[in-house]
Amino acid sequence: MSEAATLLEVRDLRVEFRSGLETVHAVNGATFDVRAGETAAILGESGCGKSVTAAAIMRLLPQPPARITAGEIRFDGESVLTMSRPRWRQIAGRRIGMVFQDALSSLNPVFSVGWQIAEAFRVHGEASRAERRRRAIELLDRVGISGAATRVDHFPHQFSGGMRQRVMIAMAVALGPSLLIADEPTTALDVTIQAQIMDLLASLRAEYGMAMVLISHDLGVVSEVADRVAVMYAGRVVESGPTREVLRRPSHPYTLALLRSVPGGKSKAQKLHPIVGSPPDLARMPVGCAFHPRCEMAREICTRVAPPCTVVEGASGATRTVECHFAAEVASGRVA
Amino acid sequence: MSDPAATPVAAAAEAVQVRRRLPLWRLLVRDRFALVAAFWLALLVVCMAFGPELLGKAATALDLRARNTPPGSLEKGWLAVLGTDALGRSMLARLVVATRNTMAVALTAITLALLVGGLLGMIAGYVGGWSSHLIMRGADVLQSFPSLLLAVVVLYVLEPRVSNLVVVLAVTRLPVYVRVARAEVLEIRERLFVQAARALGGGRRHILRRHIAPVVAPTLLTILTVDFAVVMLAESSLSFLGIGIQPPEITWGLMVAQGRNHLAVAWWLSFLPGLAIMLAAMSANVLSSWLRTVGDPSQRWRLEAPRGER
Repeated sequence: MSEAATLLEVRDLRVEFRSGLETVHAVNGATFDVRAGETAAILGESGCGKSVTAAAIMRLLPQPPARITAGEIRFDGESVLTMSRPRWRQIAGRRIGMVFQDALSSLNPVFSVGWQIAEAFRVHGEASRAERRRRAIELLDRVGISGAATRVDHFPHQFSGGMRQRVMIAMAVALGPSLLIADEPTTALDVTIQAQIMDLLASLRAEYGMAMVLISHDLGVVSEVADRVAVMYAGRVVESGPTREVLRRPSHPYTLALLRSVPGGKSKAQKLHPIVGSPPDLARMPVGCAFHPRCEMAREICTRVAPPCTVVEGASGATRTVECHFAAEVASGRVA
Repeated sequence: MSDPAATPVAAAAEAVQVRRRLPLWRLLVRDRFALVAAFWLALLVVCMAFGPELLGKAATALDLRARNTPPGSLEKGWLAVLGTDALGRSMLARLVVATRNTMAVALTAITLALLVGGLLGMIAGYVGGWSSHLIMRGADVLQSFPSLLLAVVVLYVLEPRVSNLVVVLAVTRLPVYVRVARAEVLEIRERLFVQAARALGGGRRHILRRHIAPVVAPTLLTILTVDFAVVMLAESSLSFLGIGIQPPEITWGLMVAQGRNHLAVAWWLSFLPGLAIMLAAMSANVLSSWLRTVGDPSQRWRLEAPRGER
């Protein structure tokens, strides 16, 4: 799997939002890769720049106020940020699909769901009207909505939250994209539905051979479905690598803290360790490592020098990248 | 669904199935106000289509012995049932004949204003930047100028032809549509479904036409029905000033204006055409609110549900 070609490359992406008085650095040099066919998760607490990164990949950032100040996004070798608008329109929807968090507001209230699923074909000038409808019904059926032939004429408000998310997914995969970006696809849903939606995404991914970028703050979901994970903090990817490696033996203090702040499920007696403090003000980033004010093992150097990106050899030979001065110590469990 | 163990949920779903998608005319029959309004407007359409041909003669036939006959009696023939004017012409015939001009001027003017104003407003809202500034300042200029004065100047300089009248009326109503369309678009374009459409690869024009316009349209249509009366009255003011519709052509507005001189002795001369204007505007309003309900997928059930459940 690790031999598959790189489909999406994000290099040193920097996005800032300018308001009159201050500049908010939402993304500060995020770097990660997504290979064809794999599920890559972007994990982080809210406000860490996950969704902004996704919006930047989809060219959905409102500019202004947002500005992409540096970095590069390459999809299948082509630079997303510099390509012409017509070229991008050929790729959006057809080769990259996107699922949003809030399915109700992502669906147009005045059109039937069938119309909206058919929108993908319409935008890309594919299929006749009857053909579009037939394929919309097929897709609805595929995403697990029973009675698709009648439901296709229903409107978004006539569906439950989980079903709406299924409709969104049907829209996103309508043209069989090779990359699906799912921005917190299950956050608005309850746990049982979450599992169903994740199962659906996994099976669609296998069926279409899609790669998926799963944006989530949910460690449980990420550990279950993601092949690789990129942990984001304050707009940077602080640690990335194979999910098992990263979550079993975290080598960044933030990943470690994140893991310890989640109920393990094994022993009730185990105390949870919330991460003290709050994420940095993105308009006034701390000097040095962005995590040092909250880091239990911060030393003097952390307050001065931003840690370089280091490659760490994992147990199974897989490599991962970490941005911490003391990555080796964290990984070996010598600190904390 | 014939499964005896079918859940109540399934049964409810079936009930929904049966109720959905009643034909439009059935929905119209269910709403009495809308039905009456539709009938009235249909009658006006008939008057528009055939009025001048059927009653054109009667509308201009003088009968000085029957001047200012009050309405409500059949003594002077059925044409005088709504009374006669100061020259003894049948009010009924004149009202019917005037329908065509009135409607033609008012409908064309507001439709023009809606289309042009709506389009400009949507562009201003969605594209933004200098085009937005240009359009909005243009609207400001139009709005800061008293619309009647504008019309007077323009029609005085140009010929008071019907086409000019229509254009002037449309231009004076334009800013309302521009502003409302822009305000709506500013809100709608931030909604997630627009982002979703962009994520599907939809271009600007596609998104404006397919995703934003259908959401903006009902609001603009509602304004249109209110404007309907405003424009008819504006036309009457211009006609009163002698730069609108020129006699012997007649419109309801002109009839109101002409009747004003005789208000003390013959109230019906102004009252009846005024009533016609009001009824037409009201019918348009009622019907448009019905249309709005029918067109809104999440409101349509109100008309589809049996009476007791609303």
